Amino acid sequence: MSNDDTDLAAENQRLKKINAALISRVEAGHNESQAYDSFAHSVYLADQVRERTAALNTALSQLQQTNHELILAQQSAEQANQSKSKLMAAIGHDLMQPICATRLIAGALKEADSHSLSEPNIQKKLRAIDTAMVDMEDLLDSLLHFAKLESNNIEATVTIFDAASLLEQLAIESQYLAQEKGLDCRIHIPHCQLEGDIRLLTRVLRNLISNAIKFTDQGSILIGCRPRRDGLEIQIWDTGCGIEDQDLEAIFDEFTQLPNRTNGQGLGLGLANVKKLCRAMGTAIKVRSQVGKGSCFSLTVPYATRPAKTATSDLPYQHLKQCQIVVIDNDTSVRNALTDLISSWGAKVRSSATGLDLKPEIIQQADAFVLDYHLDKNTTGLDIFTRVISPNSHSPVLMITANRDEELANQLAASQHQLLYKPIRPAKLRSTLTSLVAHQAR
Amino acid sequence: MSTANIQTASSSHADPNLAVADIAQQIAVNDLALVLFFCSSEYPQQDLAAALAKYYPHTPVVGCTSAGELSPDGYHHHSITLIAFNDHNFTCASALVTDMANLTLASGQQLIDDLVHQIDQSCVAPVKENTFALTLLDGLSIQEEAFLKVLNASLGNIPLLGGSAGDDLHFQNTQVFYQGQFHSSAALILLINTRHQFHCFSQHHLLPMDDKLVVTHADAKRRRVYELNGLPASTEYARVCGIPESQLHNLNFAIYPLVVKVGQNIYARSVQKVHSDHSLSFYSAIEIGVVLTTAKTQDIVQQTQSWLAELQHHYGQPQLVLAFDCIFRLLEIDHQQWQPAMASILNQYQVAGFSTYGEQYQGSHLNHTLTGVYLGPVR
Repeated sequence: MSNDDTDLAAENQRLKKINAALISRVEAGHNESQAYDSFAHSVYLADQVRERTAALNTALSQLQQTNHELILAQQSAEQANQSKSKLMAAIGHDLMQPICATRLIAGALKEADSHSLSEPNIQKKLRAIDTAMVDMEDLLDSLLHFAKLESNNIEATVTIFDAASLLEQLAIESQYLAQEKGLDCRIHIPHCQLEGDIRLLTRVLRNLISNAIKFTDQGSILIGCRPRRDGLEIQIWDTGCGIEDQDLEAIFDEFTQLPNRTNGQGLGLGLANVKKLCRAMGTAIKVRSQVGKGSCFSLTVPYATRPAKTATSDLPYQHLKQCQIVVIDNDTSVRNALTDLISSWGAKVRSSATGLDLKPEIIQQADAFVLDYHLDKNTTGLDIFTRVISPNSHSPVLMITANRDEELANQLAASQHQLLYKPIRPAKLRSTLTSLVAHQAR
Repeated sequence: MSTANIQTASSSHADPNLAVADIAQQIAVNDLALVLFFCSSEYPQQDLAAALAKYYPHTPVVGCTSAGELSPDGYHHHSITLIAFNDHNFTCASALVTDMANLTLASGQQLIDDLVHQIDQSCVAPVKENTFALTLLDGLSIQEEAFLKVLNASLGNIPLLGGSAGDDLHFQNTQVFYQGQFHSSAALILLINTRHQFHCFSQHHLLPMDDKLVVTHADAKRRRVYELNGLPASTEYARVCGIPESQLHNLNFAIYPLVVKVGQNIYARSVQKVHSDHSLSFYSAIEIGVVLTTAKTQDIVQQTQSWLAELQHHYGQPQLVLAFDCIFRLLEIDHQQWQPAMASILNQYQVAGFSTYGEQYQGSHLNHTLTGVYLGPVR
């Protein structure tokens, strides 16, 4: 054999040995009595422990994460709960006042014999009850708004509109309310195209204006504007009691009412709602105030970046435009106020103290009637309806009255006429009229 | 004199009496739960036992001989390092097993049950999660694997770690110390219960390479390998290391480690000795058909530093790192002249322990590792 052959044979021999060793190791399997197998078994177990530990640690950290999330959820639920509790407490407290007042007055009326009650006295008590009811209605209204804002994501629908048209509209409503308190309501608005969600903006401004009126006992309300670079700053000035510097942020919190700014009215939701609405519109509500002198709330609405299709086409309640409305009320100041108000919504208004002087064609052309129930000489709105309206028109009738007598309510309900109690709130009147006219049109 | 929960001191006096007296000056002798020491095998053992009895008459004293001592002052040779645990934050129970080969599952369980019971009577913290087990084994017993398997099974959730006694690389006389006497072919088991938070660990600095050595002829009982890859063992080992066979000595065993792969991990099988018949003795279990892989060492200083830093991050300021440090690590550190850097790490982390002939961790007998327990602040 050559050297190469010898080397190959040796190599072959060596590989056979390795092969045999490996085979014997594999075939021996796992033998715990062998020291090496004990070692291999131990480290294998330790490995498994490590893996299990790692898996457990992962599971643990996941659990911790879940726990953390649950805690956050719990906290948020608790916050919501607290908020709800606050709400319930506020409702309880604020609703209780008008209810108590109503019950006291009603009790007094029930106890008194007919001799001790003069007509003016009864009227006075009824007005007090009515005021209490209006307060309750306001409370429930702001609650409903709040609940709506809480449950929905508000989405702004941007349209183009004229600043003056919108604000003049609001000013007329405001003047009606301001006059009741003996306040002067002034307006200074330029014609200028703005861009934004007119519905949201209307709600905000109406809220701010009604606040201004509510918290001002004497002086005036001014609705003004200042052109700014990024838009028109709409300002609502009042000459009310003013707000301390440290309270300027708190007034926008839910259920917050400042001691000097509360007269037993409201839940403290109005400005919280305003803040939410402004955020939805992408603007911020600003306030500055001087205690004893008054406050100014303002927000800036961007100028229109494109021309409007028609300047006022986007105004709400356009159903009232070009409508013919007949107003019948024996109280001259109320009749004039109603006429101005309804005219400001674009309707054509004919008014009358008795209804008897209206020509039949006026009745025939009317889209709706606003009828006071108590007319002069013991005539009622229902009498006028029967005598003057029903022979000539099937248009809807809105009956208004300050009398909240149950029997009367039943009687009017039977007559299918819509009913509104005095004092009439402009927004309510407008929405009711709009709905009547829209219904009629369909 | 220090009155810390854990005190460490060392002395290099050759006279055992002077050495212990030196240490006793540094360490308070009262209110101790345990004294643990590691000493050079060169001390006359009866004299050392007498000196320990004299200075620590009321405290359990346990320990073993070593291949070098570690303390926060650095690495020592021919010295004694002593660690004292106070009885306010520690309690311990200990036992000696003189017949390691014959510890059965039943007798092992009985032994551990007794120790746990003792701890239960005097524990300073709930046994579960506040107790660890220490083993000090005769490093030349060749019984570690079977013994540890039984012990670990009996211990359940109590973590186990420890080291094999050394004798300054003479491979003649490794001993453990228990109840005033040195014992050979014996194992010492300690349960230590503590208020301190702690973490048991084992880490190595080896990286596997490509060469494979199959054990083709061996005497498993004596951990002696005659042939690797069908060739005389030392010849083949020297060949894959790329060094002359005549250069096979302790330092090169340390620098050219062999490992086995189990699952995803590697475990060193350290060479202990070259015999004239070209066979190799190992520090841990070996078997025909086992495949050894060559490995290289990585930066031991950097690795140790970052490992201990991580432990500190998790477990707080170190009060003591009880370390069972493979003798091969010390040989490499010496060879690379890394002692100053390592000594400062020992100081920074309050490391005390000894250079071992093998480390024990979770029931496995290991080589070439730093195994230990990191004691942080009191929980």
